[in-house]
Amino acid sequence: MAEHLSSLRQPLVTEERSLHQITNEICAPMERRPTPLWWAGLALAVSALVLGIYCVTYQIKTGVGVWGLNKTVGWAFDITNFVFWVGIGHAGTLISAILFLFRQKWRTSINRAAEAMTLFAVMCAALFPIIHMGRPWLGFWMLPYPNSRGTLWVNFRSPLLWDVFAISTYFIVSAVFWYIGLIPDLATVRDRSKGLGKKIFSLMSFGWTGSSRTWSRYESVYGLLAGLATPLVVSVHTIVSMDFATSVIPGWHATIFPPYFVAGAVFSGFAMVLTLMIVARKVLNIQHLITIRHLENMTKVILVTGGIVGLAYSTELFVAWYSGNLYERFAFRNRAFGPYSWAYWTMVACNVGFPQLFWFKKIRTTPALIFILSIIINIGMWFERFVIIVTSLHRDFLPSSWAMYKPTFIEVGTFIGTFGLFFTLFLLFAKFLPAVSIGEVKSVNSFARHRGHGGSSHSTGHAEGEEPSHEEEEGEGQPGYATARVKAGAEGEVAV
Amino acid sequence: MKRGTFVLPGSTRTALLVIGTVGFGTLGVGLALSPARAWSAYLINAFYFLAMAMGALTLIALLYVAKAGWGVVIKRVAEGVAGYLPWAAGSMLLVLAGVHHLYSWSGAHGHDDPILKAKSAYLNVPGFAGRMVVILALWLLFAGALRRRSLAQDADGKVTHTTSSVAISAGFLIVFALSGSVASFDWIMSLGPHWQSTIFGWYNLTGMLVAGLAAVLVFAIGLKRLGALPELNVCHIHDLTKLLFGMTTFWAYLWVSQYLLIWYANIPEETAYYLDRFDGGYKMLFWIVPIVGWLVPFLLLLPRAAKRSESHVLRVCAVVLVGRWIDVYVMVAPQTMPEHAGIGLFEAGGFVGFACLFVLAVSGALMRTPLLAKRDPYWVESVHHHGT
Amino acid sequence: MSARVFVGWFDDEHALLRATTAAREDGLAIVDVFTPFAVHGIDEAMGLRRSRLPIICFCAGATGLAFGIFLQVYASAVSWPLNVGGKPFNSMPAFLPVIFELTVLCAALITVAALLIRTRLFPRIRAPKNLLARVTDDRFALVLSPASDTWNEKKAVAICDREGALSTTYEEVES
Repeated sequence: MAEHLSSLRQPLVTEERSLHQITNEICAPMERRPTPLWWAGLALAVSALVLGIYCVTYQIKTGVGVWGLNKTVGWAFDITNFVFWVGIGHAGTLISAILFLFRQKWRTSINRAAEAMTLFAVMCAALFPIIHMGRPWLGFWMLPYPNSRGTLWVNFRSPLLWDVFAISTYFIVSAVFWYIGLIPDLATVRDRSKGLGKKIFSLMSFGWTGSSRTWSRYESVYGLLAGLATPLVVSVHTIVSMDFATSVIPGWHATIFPPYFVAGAVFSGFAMVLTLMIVARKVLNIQHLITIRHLENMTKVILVTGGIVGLAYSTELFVAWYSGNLYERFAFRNRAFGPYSWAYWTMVACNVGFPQLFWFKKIRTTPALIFILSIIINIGMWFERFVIIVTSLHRDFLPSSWAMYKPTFIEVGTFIGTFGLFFTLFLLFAKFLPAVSIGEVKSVNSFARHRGHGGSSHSTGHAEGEEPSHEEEEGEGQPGYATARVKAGAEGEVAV
Repeated sequence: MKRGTFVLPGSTRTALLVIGTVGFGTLGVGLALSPARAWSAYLINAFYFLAMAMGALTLIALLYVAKAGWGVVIKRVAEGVAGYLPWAAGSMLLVLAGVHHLYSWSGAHGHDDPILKAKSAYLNVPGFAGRMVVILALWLLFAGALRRRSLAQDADGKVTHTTSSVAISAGFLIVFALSGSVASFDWIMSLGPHWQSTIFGWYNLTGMLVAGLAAVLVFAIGLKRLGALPELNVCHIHDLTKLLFGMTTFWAYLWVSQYLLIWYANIPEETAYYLDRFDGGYKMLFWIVPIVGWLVPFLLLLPRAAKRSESHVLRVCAVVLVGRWIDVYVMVAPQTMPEHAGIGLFEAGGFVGFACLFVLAVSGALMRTPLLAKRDPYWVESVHHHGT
Repeated sequence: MSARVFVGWFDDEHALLRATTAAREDGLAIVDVFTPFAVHGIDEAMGLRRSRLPIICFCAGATGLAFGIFLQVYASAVSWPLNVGGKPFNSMPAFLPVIFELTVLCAALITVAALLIRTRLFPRIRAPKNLLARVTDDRFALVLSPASDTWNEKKAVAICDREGALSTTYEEVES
C-alpha cells in the first residue's frame, strides 16, 4: 500500500536501516557495559529510594500520626501522590492500546518504554494506600474472600474498594499486555545471547519461533487486549475520580470529574513519557527511532488533553457560580483567592498556560524546550490534585474548624522515595530489557525501506529531501555516532 | 446513478416537500392550540437535527486534525450533512419566539425565586438570545470556511487548502468545545433552571458526534447503493462503524458517570432531575435511552463481521438515531411537560417536518458539488484504504 | 520425531508474501512461515483462517460479568446485608465499577491463557527445537513440506528464485 500514500506523509523511521541493524541497535544497551551516566542515575535513584524506605519504615513503626493531617484536612499528601502516580500510569496503556486501535504507527518506538513506565507508576501509586492502612501486612483484607469472621465481606458500595479492583486489574492487565508484547523481542535477544543469558531469555521468551501461525493468533489477541485495555484505562481514573465525586463536598462533587480526571491523567502521563523519552533517546542513542516527529506528536496529544483539562476547569468554575449555591461558590472562590491561591494559580499556569506554547512548531520540535515544558506540566498536575484535595477540605462548612495543612518531612520523604523507586525500576528496565519494541519498529522500518525503493515510480512518492530537520541535534557529543551513521548509509544502500 | 454525482429525483423532492409541509403544519396547529407542548416538540426536533449537522462538522474537523487520510472518501458526504447547518441555525433562532413557553426562568415569576435571582445575570432573555446568535454565527463561519476550502481545492488542487483546513479545524474544535457546552447548558439544561451538572456539555457534545456519525454512515452507504459513491469500500464502513461503536460507548460512559454520581451523592437539588424522569410516565423512556442508545448497538456491533456489513450497519445506525431522539426527548420533555409524557401528534409532526427539511437540505448540499474530492492530497490514499 | 523440510530464505517481506501466495496457489503444502515481525497480509497469503480467540474473549468477559454481579449481590444483599450510608442492599449503580473491572480482568487473562495454550507458548530452558536461524533477526523463511502428495521440488525452487529468495535449503526440524 505504500505507493498510495499521500505526499503529505513523512516516513516514521528517518534513516534507512537493515533489519539486522535495528536488532543490533536496540539490543546494544543490553549487551554493553553500563555507562557511567547510567551508574550515576542509578545511584541517585537508589539514594532516593533508600530515603523513602526509611520514611515508610518510620511511619509504619510510629503510626500515621507522623503526617501533617488534622481534623479538618484528613486527606492530603498521601492521596495527592496516589492520584499523581496513577495519572502518570495512564499514558503507557493509552499509547499501546488506543493508538494501536487508531493505527497510529508512530507509537511503535515508544510503546514499550511507556508501558514499562505505566507499570512502575502504578506500583508507586499503589504504595500510598497500602502505607495509609497503617498495617500494610493486612492489605489482603481489602479482597473479598470467605473468612471466619462470619463471613464478613468488604463494602462493595465504597469507591475506595472500587479503587482496589480498578488498580489491581489495571496493573495485572497492563503487565500481561506489556509482557505479551515483549515475548517476540525476548526471543530475538535469546537468539543473540550465550550461556546463562540464553537460558534466562529462553525461559522468558516461552519458546517463540516466529511462526506465522503463532503471529496470526498473537496479533489477534493483541488487538483484543488493546480493545479491553482502552475502556480499562478510562475506568481506572474514572474510579479514582469517584473517590472524590461520590461525596457531597463542594469542589469534589462534580459530575464532570470522571472524564476530566481521565483527560488530566493522559495529559500528565504524556508529559512524563516525554520527560523520560527525551533523556532515553539520547542516552540509548536511538534518536533515529524516537524522532523529533514522535516528540511532536506527543506534544500534540498534550495540547488536546491540556485543552480538555482547561475546559473542565472553566466548566467547574462556571457551574459553581451558575449553581447559585453558596457553598459551591465559596469553594471555588477560596481556591482562587484563599490561602492556597498560590497552588491554584501554579496549577492554572502550568496546566493551561504553559502548554499553549506547544502551538508553536519551533517549540514542538525542540527537545530541550519540550523537556522543560513536560516537567512544568508534571508539576502542574501534581498541584491540580493537591488543589482539588486540600483546598476543598481545609475550609469546611464550619468556619471554626477551618485549618491549614503542611506536609511533614516524612510525607515529603515518602514522595521522593517513590521517585527513587520509579527511576530505579526504569533504569533497570532500560538496561536489562529491550526498551524499544524490536519487532514493531522493524515492521514500520521496512515500510520506510520500501517507500524509498518504489517511490520514484509513483508521483506520490516521498522525496528524500523532505525529511524532518533533525540533523543538527544529532550526533553532538556522541563520538561513536557519526561513524555509525556513515555505516548505516553504506549498508542501507545494500539493503535497498 | 452516475459515479460521483447525486441527483434527488423530482418526485421524491415533491413528496418530501408535501410530507414536510404536512408535518410542520401539524406542529403549527399545535403552536396555536397547545403552545407549551408544541414548543417542546419543536425544540426537541430542532435540536435533534442540529446535533446531526454539528456532529458531521465535528467529524470533518477531527479527520482533518488527525490527518486521517482514509476519511476523504466520505468528506463530501459529511459536508453534505453539515450542509443542513444554516437551516438548523434558523430553526434554533425561532426558538426565541417560544422562549417564554419553554424556559421557566424567562417568566416574571422567576424574580421571587432566590436561586433564579442568583443566576439572573446569566439566565435572562437578552443574554440567552445574544449567546445563541453568537454561537450559531461561529458555527456557520467555521462550517463555511471548511466547505469553501474543500470546494476550492476541487478547482485548483492546491495542498495549502488542506493545511489551512487543519488549522481551521483545530480552531473549530476549541471553539465548539466551549460554545457547544454553553449551547447545551443554555438550550437544554436551563429548561430545569434549578438543576446543574458539569458533565452536561460534554454529554451533549458526544451525543452530537454520535448522531453525526450515524447520519454520515446512512448517507454514505445510501449513496454507495445508488452507485454514486463506489469508492466507499468495506474498510471505510468498518472504520466509521468502529468510531460509532466507540463513541456510543463513550456516550454511555458519560451517561453512567452523571447518573452514578448523582445517585450516589443523593443531594436533593440534583436528584430532582432524575426524579422528574421517574414520574409522569417517563420512567420507561428514561431506561430505554441507555438500552437503545448503547446496549443494543454495542451488542449488535461487537462481532467484526457486523461492522463490515452494509445492511447491518444501516440497521444499527437506525437504532442509534432512534436512541438519540429518545435521549433528547427525555432531556427536554419532563421539564417542559412534567405532567403528561407521551409522543403524540405534535412530536411526530415536528419530527416529520424537520426530517423532510433535513433530507432536502442535505440532498441539496450533496447535489451542488461532486461527491468525490479527487484533488484532496489524501484522496488516493483514502480510495486505497485497507484496514485490518 | 524429526522431519525434513524445504526452506526458502528471504530478506524482504514483500518477496516472501509473493512467494507464499504463489506456493499456495501452486498447491504446495505450506508448513509455516517464520518472520521476525508480524507481516501484514501473511494470513491471506498462507490461507489461514481468522483466529477464533475473539469468541473465547467474549465468553470469558461474559463469565467475568456474571461473576461480578453474583459476587456483589451475594455479598451485599444475601450473605451479610449491611446498611452503609442508607444505600439499598442491592445497589446496582454502585456495583457497576467492580462488575466492569472483573469483566475486563477475566476476559484479558483467559484470552491470554488461551493464546498461550493454543500456540504452545510456555517457559522452557532450551531454545525451541524447530527454530530456524536468524528468523528472529532479519530472515524470513518459507517452509514447505516435501512429504506432501503435491510436492514438486522444481516448482518450489522456481517460485523462490523468481521472487528473489536468497537461497533454498533443506532443514531437519523437530516436529
